[in-house]
Amino acid sequence: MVKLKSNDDKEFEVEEAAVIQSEMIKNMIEDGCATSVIPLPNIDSKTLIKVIEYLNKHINMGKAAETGEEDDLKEFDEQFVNMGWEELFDVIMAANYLNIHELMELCCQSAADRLKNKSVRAVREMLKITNDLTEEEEQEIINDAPWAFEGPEIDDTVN
Amino acid sequence: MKRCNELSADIESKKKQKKSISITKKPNLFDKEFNPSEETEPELKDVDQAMGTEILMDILKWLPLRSFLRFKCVSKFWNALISEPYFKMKQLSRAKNDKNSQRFVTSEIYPKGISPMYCCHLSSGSDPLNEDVQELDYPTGFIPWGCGLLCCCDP
Repeated sequence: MVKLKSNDDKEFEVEEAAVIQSEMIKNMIEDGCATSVIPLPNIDSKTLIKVIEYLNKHINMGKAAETGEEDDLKEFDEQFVNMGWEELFDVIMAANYLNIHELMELCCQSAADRLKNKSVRAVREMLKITNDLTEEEEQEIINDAPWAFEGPEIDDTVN
Repeated sequence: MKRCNELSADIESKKKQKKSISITKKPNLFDKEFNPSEETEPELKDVDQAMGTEILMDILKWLPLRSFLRFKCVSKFWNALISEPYFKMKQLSRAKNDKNSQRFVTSEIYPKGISPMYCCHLSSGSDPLNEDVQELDYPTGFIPWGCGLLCCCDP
């Protein structure tokens, strides 16, 4: 078992087979650096619980194809990313920090799915981005590919 | 234990490097000489900039081309990021391995006039004449001729 500590001082025990999906922790274990508690100063306990839930479910991912559990994993993944924006970003940041490739891909793809049909205005609002382009610069970008700014699928709602 | 501390410090410094990239000061994100100092770094308040360039790229690479190009208009940061040749390569390499984005192009040849062209998903393995087929727009005056290989690109 490997002990992880969140930035709000909560400790979690995780099976080594699960936690080595994190390249960062795997390297620490290989270097003999995981004998005591591993502090994770960038991750709060709420996010760490989500990450551990993912790691435990994906513990035998390599065997999933043999045992026919692929559909089960797919369903889990779909449910897993069903969370709010802020929570999703926290998991993305944690997956990036811990270097968990599959989790990173899953969450980034989910974020892109939420953004893909959105209007420019909606994206700015969803991600709280300030528009610093001038009107001329904006028009120039639109003129380069006007077809990308037209279409019934473009959704101006923020959710 | 000393090694562990060094490893953690190394990881920390890598994270900081990622976060410190600021597009408002530098049009080329991947210029190796670009190394903003702590004093000049603006406060990171927007969600996208707090995430860092690499993470934002990891998200945007999943977007279909239409949204990808539309989102250049989000801000200067996004415009510069999406215009980066390195990022375009990343997006392309993902798209070409994505079975959903591989299409089969076909056309009907009429002796005179415009020949309509269609495309359908390559991965569906479906009958090219089913509802999955989309009619393509292409420049007027373009007439596919004979059999051969058609190369399509988005300039």
